[in-house]
Amino acid sequence: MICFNFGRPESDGTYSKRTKYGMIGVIIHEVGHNFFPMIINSDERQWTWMDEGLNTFLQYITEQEFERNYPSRRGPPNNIVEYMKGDKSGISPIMTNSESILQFGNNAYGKPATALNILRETIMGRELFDYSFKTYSERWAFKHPTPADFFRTMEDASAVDLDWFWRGWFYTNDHVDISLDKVNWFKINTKDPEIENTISKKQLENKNTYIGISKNQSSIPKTVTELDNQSIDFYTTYDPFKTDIFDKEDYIEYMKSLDTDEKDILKSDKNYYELHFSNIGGLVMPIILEFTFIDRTTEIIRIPAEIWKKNSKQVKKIFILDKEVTNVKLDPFLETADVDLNNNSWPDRNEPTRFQIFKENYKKKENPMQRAISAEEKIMNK
Amino acid sequence: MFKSLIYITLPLILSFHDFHVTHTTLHYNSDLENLEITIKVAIEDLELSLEKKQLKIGNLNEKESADEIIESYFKNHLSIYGDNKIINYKWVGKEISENLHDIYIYFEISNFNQNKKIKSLILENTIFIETTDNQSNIMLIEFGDNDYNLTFTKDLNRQKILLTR
Repeated sequence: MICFNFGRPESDGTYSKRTKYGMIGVIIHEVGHNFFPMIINSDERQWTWMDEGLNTFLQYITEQEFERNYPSRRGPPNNIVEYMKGDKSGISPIMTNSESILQFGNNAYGKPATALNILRETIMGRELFDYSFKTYSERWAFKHPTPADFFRTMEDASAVDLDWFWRGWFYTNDHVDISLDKVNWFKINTKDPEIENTISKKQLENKNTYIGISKNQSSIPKTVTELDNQSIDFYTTYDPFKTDIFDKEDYIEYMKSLDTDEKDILKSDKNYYELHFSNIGGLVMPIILEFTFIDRTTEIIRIPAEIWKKNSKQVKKIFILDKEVTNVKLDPFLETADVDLNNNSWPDRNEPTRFQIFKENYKKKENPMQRAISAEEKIMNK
Repeated sequence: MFKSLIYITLPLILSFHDFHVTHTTLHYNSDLENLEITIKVAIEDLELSLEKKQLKIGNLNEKESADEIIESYFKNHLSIYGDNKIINYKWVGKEISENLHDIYIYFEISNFNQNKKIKSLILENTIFIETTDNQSNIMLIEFGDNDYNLTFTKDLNRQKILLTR
């Protein structure tokens, strides 16, 4: 629990960034142990995560309050991806007795800290989460809480049903991999002959045509019917897209059958997008989507994890949008620890690996302190 | 009595982050037909293993030959055999992680298994096992359809996987 020996300057008195932030981080962490487990007195020998996980989470919060963009090691969801992906032979659930845990650091520190961070930022929101977390701490100060006490307090203080979250994140070794499988686009048929016939005509004109027909357009200057009036009959000039009095009457009849709400929908000219998702990893998560429209504006839409309630493997949802969509991105802010980003975009998009990004940008790097010193020397020598 | 009590409790105390785990990813890039090798280790552990070399990674006075020393360390502690024949990999570079705790070391095998003749890979991973007893080295192998996740320890430092593509 409380034991550290980290952070030494170089013999010349300088120190690296790593030493600085590592040392501040470890001090924050060890001070945190005054509270978890010293005051909120859980049993570390049974459930290491109850002090180390909670304390690592608080360490993350504290580090971020200490300095903007503090290089925290554990907390942000994308840092846990490496541990959670792949096959499960080397991963035990968080709810494993401390003696039997595989990969102690990730299991008892990293994953619970990340899970709490996801609860706070994405699932419950800061206000509800912080209130419940404080309630837990106050309720169980100078007592001996067990995991059930933590789970229960977080739920009854916030009135949020989190059973599904504890079950997935704490009792299984599943990971998050939600895939955006398919996007279907629909427009409503207005049944107005003037509008629909124009659309049908355009669609026919835009259809691919056999090459012979387009070549004939220029190689046959005039056809027989164009040259000889005698050869024209009704069908030569018949336009199937022209609206007649019957079409108009049908339309008026149809409009009479609709109520005002239905008429509004008909007139609204909305785009209907049906998105299909599948849950490959096993953990259910909120679905966070970024839609990019044809005019390059974007909109974020958040769907709570309850969408998976009836079917935890596959769901679809319809979005009614004013503008035409060009791109959809799932989890655009990397907040769910989704292990595979290659199935998160429509149209498909392959995310480069860390290796590929490094190789692309590689140049021999000096460290920032070296650069600062040599820059100073350069000015001095001028 | 008191002294012996302290002696008994001390080894039970967990230190802050003494968890000795490394992550290695072998990712087959089918577009370029190369094998990307990404090794992530704690800088602290790497420096401990190469203590005599005084690397001072990322410091002002990082040893000039640090890259070569690191390269030769990993070549001695991570071997890849294709059907019992060793496959050489070449140095690409190293990079300190955003949170400053770890270092990523990149190697590459170009034209990996071009004719798809290799049926099996034998992986030998002994990274840091001489420095810590509880070292575990995790290897993720990503060959498109064939994904493996293997854990290497002191007692299990050689594992075989089949490549059926």
